Amino acid sequence: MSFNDAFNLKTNPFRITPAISSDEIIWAGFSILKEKLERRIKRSIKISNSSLILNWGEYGSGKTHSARYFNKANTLQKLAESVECKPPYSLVFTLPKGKEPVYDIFTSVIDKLDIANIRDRFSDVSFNLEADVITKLTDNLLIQSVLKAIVDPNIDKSLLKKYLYGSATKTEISSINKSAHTDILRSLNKDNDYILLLSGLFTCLTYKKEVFSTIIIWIDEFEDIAILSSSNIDKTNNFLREILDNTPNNLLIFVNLTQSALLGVSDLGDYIYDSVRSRIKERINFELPSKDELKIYLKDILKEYHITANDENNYFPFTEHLIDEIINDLGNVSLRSFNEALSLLLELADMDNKQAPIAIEYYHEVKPEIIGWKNE
Amino acid sequence: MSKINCVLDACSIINLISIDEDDFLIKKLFKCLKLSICEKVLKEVKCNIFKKENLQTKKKEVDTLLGQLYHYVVSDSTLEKDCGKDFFERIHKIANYKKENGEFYSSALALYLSQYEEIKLFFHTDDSPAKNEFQDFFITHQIGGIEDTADLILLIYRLDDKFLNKELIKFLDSLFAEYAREVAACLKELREISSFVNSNAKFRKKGNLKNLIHKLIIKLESHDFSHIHELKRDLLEVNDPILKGFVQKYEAVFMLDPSSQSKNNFLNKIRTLQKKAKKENIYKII
Repeated sequence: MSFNDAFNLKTNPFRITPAISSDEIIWAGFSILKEKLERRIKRSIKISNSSLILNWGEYGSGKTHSARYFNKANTLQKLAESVECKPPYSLVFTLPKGKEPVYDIFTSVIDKLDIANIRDRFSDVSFNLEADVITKLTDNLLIQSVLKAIVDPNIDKSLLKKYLYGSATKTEISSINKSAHTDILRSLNKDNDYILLLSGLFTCLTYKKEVFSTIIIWIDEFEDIAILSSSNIDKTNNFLREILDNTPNNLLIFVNLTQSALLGVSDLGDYIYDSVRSRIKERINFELPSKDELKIYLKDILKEYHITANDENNYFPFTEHLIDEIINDLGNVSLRSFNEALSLLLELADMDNKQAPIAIEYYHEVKPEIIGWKNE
Repeated sequence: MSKINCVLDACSIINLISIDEDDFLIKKLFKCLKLSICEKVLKEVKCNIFKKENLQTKKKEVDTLLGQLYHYVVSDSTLEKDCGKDFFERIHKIANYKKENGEFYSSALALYLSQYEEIKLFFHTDDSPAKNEFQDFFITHQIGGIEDTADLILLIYRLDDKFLNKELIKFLDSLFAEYAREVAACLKELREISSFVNSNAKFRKKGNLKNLIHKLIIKLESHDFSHIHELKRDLLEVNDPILKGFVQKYEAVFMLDPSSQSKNNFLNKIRTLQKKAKKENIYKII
């Protein structure tokens, strides 16, 4: 019998976490956490103030999955519709660990910038972008010129991206100036240039919330700040402070930070300076799940993956009794560890041609393979 | 130039080039020390240096530097001419070391130089296990000391009056980040392997492997590098291509296993030196 037939599952739902493909990114259980994140996002969609939020929890607690889930276009669309606003412009990237962190962040944003789409969206706004926004947001003429070029449909998109990446020749820059009637006299090459341009871009994209309601940035693996050189720790902190100061409206930054042996609460001050910590509006804790939370999570995820609905046993191809025992045996573990155990149990049952629901006796047989090795 | 002789291993050369800015360290290295490098080390440097991502965009500058290193190479044939064709064979036996790597040929070169030039010298390497293996050889033959890249930077700082304390702090910091970054990348990949192994029925009977990976993760999370060399050996014994590839890729991390005499690992040592430098507890008389 095939896996699908035996277990009434489209596939093994626990196989790879966090999910990568958009279709696999669903939210299961953890309604309180979901509400906290949704509330924070809806507030930013509706209200102008910029915010910095710290997401804090152990490895495998769902921070990266949250970033991916709330970065999905249809998730954000639904949240925006619930408050009758335009959807946010959202980005997820990991903390850069190279020698030029600000440039790496800038590149991550530019990589995802769909210039054609942006230009299209600005074509029917109620305001004059240049007169009402660009000339007022900064007195830096270079930044003004670059922003104008981004929204100008006459400028070749690839050429513009070349300039933004710092690889345009002098001739190419001249050609941009000719087409856009701008005065771009040098390349962008300092951290300050990148920060000013990003904040200018974000301000344009969210002006009057007509194109996008807010910018959402998720910075994942922020705990790696502990391994950066002092100079790069400075630059990273400086980036966060400056981008928030220069974008006082419509910017929401989530920082995902895993606590570990190297980076506990007491160490935060060494890596996140006062000037940034003082800007943190909220800290959302990603706690280790309780037994009840794990069971609700499991029911939700199985419901999503059942081929045909099973109202008699929400835990099919497991039983509630079996799940209770697994949770007791695992103890206080992360969601990731729970997923790994269930994934292996399913795979073993499939390999050994076991009927579903999986019997508790079978679990006892294979328990050493699933959990026992941890006690060796 | 001082009269201090140094033999350099590939990892020390690569790390110095990687953390250097505008050839600051390299120029001082050439100026202050009498350097010697064996052929094998130069080959290893050329083979591995562009694995450093930050150096991939500086190929031209790095190639120029590598060209300058030729000047310091002492060829194997020179050693064989002076000491006999069986010189390296004898070193293998005496040192009880079978591998044909940069550490071996550097130690042989160090022995040769110490006796032919009647000097004591320092061999700089960040490979802690190799340091352990050759410690006895160096002591027995009174060659000198085996030190690491942090020690080399301190030495250059001591010898060059224009090398400022703030620059020392900066370079020690960069050296720390160089290794810490590698450890973080290693840990991330190891967790992915762990997830795969823990949830895949193919590894059902491999409780030992899961336990091994679990132990290694706990150690790397807390920067406890003691005995990770043994864990590496155990991983290789599993004979799985994914694990073999992983171990090869993160060889530098496994080299952080501190010597049996020292409980302090390389990363902690760099942090301690940084603190001393910040408190200005490193005294330069001249």
